[in-house]
Amino acid sequence: MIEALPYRESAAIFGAGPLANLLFWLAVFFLEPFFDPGVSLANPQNQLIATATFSLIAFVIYARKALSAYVVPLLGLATIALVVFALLKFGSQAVGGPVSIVKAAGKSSSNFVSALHFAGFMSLNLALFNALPIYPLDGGKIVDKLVGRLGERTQNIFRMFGIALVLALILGVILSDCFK
Amino acid sequence: MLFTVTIALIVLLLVFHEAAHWFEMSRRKISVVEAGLGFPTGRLL
Repeated sequence: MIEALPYRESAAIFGAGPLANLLFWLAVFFLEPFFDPGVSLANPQNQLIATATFSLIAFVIYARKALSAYVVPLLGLATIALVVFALLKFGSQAVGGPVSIVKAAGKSSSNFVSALHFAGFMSLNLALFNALPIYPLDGGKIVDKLVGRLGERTQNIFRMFGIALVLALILGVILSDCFK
Repeated sequence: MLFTVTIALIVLLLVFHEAAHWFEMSRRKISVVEAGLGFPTGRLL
């Protein structure tokens, strides 16, 4: 079972999802301009962009274990700061649930490239959301292993608090969708 | 039509996300079913 694995091994399993989504976003974000027939790979600058993107993707795949163990939890902490900042600045407009996603999908799809762009944006959202260090999410499961070193009681409190927080978040997001 | 493509792409993203977990699990010879259920299945499956 996963619980019996050392920290870096279990982190590699839980961090794989957010990293995969991050990879998809990277690929879409940097390679999307090449779908435009006017953009040519004969241009040295474009060659550099394409090479750098593929190198970055290869690096993320190669270093996935270390990235899952150390970078994904930090990304989660950065996401908390981002969410707090967005909520303070934009209020309930900053968050959106399934209804907002479907609405935005309907608005943003004018051609295949824009649909791909939207999917890339959703991919980044999924990666950042899952990196949050709250228990039932992937980032939370990575941190859970570290919290487990503090004792079973602390781990249980961390898990219960996380589950309650995620349920509250789901409810809050759906309610904010209803009142938009 | 494009709306359907967009939603299909989002569903594919979720499958991609889970597939990454399954890939890492299978590399470490961990049963996906057992990991999903949270307890060893033994002779159940």
